[in-house]
Amino acid sequence: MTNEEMTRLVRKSAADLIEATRALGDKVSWSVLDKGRSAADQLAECALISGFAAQTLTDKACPPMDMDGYKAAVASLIADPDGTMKLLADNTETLSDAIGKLTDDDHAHAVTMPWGNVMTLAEVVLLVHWNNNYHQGQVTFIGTLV
Amino acid sequence: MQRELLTALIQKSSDALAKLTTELGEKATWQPLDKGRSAVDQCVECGYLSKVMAKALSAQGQPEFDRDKMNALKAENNTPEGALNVLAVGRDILLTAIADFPAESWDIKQTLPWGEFSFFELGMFIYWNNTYHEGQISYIQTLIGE
Repeated sequence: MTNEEMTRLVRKSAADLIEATRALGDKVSWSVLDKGRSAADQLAECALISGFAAQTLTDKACPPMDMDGYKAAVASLIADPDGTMKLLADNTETLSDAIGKLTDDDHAHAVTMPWGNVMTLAEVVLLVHWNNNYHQGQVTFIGTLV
Repeated sequence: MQRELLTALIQKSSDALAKLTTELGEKATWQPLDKGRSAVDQCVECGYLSKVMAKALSAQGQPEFDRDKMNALKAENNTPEGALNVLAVGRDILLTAIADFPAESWDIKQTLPWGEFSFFELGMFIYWNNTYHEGQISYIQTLIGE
């Protein structure tokens, strides 16, 4: 897959997720049946993972995973959905810039993820795309339940 | 490269849908809050769209979506077994079409009502759709508490 194709996929997935979240209006923090994750919670995850991926592509290695810092960041972002949408958009642009600098050899460069498995940088990009799409589906599903 | 990537992504995303729907058991026909689409309904859609895209690839033409046909298919397959069968048949037809698609034609663009897309991007649309519904069916699981 070319850098241009990857960039287009990632940008579209983030834009679609933001649009789905915005459409929820004041239901953005709603936990369906007090069991489902709210849209705000999911958006925070996607924003942070996009930033994580951008740094991974730039450094050609995963940054150290700080779970306590991650949880604190999610808690802070949940309280500010508009700010989280902006963070997702900003981190997606940073990721797009990083994708644009990848060479063909970089695509196959392997990194060890914080959860132990090994992925190529191209697979890291596809992971972000998958994650955004997956959560777009969930956020849109919340919208059908309102 | 594009063939191998699409094959892997379609297979993986279809397997994920089938696994989640199978795990739901009799709840696969459940509509959360009597509003959300059931897992069965979503699986039939994914199987139907895979078949539509397979036909477009085989003819190197445009996908021809027929909502009435899809709804009839849903009515005929409103059980977990029926929906999983539609999903599997659609996946297999699509994987065959991808395997037979000429390598030099993946970048040829088609103009659709919502933009211009290469055949590779049309194949990726099915991956996006499967992943989107993977998120939704997974969300149904969380509402059941599984």
